[in-house]
Amino acid sequence: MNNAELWKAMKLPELKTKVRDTWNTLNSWKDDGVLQPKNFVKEVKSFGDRRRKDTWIKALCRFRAMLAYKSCLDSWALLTITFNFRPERWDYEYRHQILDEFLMYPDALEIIKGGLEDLYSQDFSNQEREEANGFFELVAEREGRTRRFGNTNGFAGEIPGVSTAA
Amino acid sequence: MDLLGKSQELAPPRKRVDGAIVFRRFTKSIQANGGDEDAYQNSIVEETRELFDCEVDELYRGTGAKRGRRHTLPQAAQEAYMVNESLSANQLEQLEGTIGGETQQEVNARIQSVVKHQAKQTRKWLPW
Repeated sequence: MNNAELWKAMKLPELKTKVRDTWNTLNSWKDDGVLQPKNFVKEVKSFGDRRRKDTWIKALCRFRAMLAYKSCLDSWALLTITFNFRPERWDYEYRHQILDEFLMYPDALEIIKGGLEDLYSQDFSNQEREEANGFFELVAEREGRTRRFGNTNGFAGEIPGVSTAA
Repeated sequence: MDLLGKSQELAPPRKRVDGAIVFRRFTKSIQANGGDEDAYQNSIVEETRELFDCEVDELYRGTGAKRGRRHTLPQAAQEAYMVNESLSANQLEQLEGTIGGETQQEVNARIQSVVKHQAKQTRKWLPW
């Protein structure tokens, strides 16, 4: 069974719930932690027409990337946990867009590079490196593509350290 | 744990413990209790807020450290994380097999609550 058969495309109601859950989490991290429903509506509207699924997908990926960025205490854990996309994960379907959104942060590549440097240092075993396989597979998938990498000018193969470290 | 007389049973070989090793034990204890990547992310943010009254990026910016590289944080901050993650891992390891929930969110919430509670306790012993 290949990866594509392991997951099914998320239906709109579930997608909306995931967007809301992610937004709730992000807002709970703020100092006041107050959830204002009208702010949620306003923010989703900023991605487009709320009747369209792609609007919700855009919102989800932006919010998931924000979650990843804000919780990144250790860049190697970004690769072994946060971006270790596996087919059984509910956000697997959107892994490329989430990474695209993450790469919009000015220091995103630097963070990923730092994570790779750590993972390939002598402090990590091969087994621990394998925990980032979901991330490596994601990058490998992108290498065969001609799609652009977020707002950068490069492709996946140009992530510093990826091609040399593996 | 018996620290005396049983050293021959300990494997793998001992080595110097640092913040990364403690952190790995902490994340493994989250996973062993059924926590997913959201439980990990929330735990990081919650412990940071309890220990330092700020968000992760604020801590990095405010201390002039390099984003995502914990070892560039001031020693006091690294120690606070290390202590808290060690104590949280102790608690989570004891809870293995007992944390349940109807949904993944419920399981995550219980794990996060353990970490947050421990961080509140840890904070009391910190000098700031």
